[in-house]
Amino acid sequence: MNEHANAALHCVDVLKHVCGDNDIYNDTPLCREIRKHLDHCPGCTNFLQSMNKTIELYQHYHPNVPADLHAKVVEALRHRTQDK
Amino acid sequence: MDHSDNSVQDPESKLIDLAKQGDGKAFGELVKQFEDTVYSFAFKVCRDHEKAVETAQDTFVNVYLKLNQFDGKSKFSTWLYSIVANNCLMKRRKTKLEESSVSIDESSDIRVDDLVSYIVPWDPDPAETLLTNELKNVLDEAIKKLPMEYRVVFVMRDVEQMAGEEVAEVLGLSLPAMKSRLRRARLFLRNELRPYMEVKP
Repeated sequence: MNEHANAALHCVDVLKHVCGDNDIYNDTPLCREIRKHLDHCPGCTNFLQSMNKTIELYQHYHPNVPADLHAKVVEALRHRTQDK
Repeated sequence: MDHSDNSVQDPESKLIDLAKQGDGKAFGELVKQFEDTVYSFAFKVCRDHEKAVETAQDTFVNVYLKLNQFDGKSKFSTWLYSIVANNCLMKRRKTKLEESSVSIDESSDIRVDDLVSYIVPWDPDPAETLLTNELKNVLDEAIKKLPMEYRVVFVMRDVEQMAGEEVAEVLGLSLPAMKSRLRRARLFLRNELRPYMEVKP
């Protein structure tokens, strides 16, 4: 645990907040405390950076769509909906 | 929804209405417009090309059979995502895809004892330059270890950037339950990537 463990807001609370789909840029007392904590806690800042990088990597990984996808979808529609 | 005044309808709604009335050409256009989106989303969840193609086929068969149930209250793409997500979840149940997935429970949540390991920074280079084939394999293998219920939430919310409320609604979850799954999925994936991404001293 780092030096901020005894501060008003503990690292574990900050990390739960930033991992839980909560916007830290809202103008609420909690978010202000979180931003203040992040300004002085390299551990939490690095953790937040690594979390954002994880999401960013998955966002930028675009699969190649197979050239025969349309033909395969049409084939499935022909076979499985012909009597409907 | 009253679509009697076709002059104010957007092209997508017009196509949907025509397809509902049995216009095959309009349905074909819908397939063309959305097949890449459906395939990409299915791949991001399954991480397997063959399964993603099967899921795309199943999804458009479902769309054909259930199009009259689409009431236009949500975006058509959201409705499609809900069908793809259900197909992925059903496929998982049928084929026991998840035999190798890990158990994600409270123990995988943040622990104070772990905080010391969070200090090492990660490679700051942009994601595009980091995405080698090797790293893509690591990303695939990491997400495949997640149970499907967590994968779907992560892909919808973080990768496709759907609103949290929308993800919760599509998956029939409360907002806190959706956030809890998202938090655990993010933590799990982040920890899986850590050995590859930490800046070496």
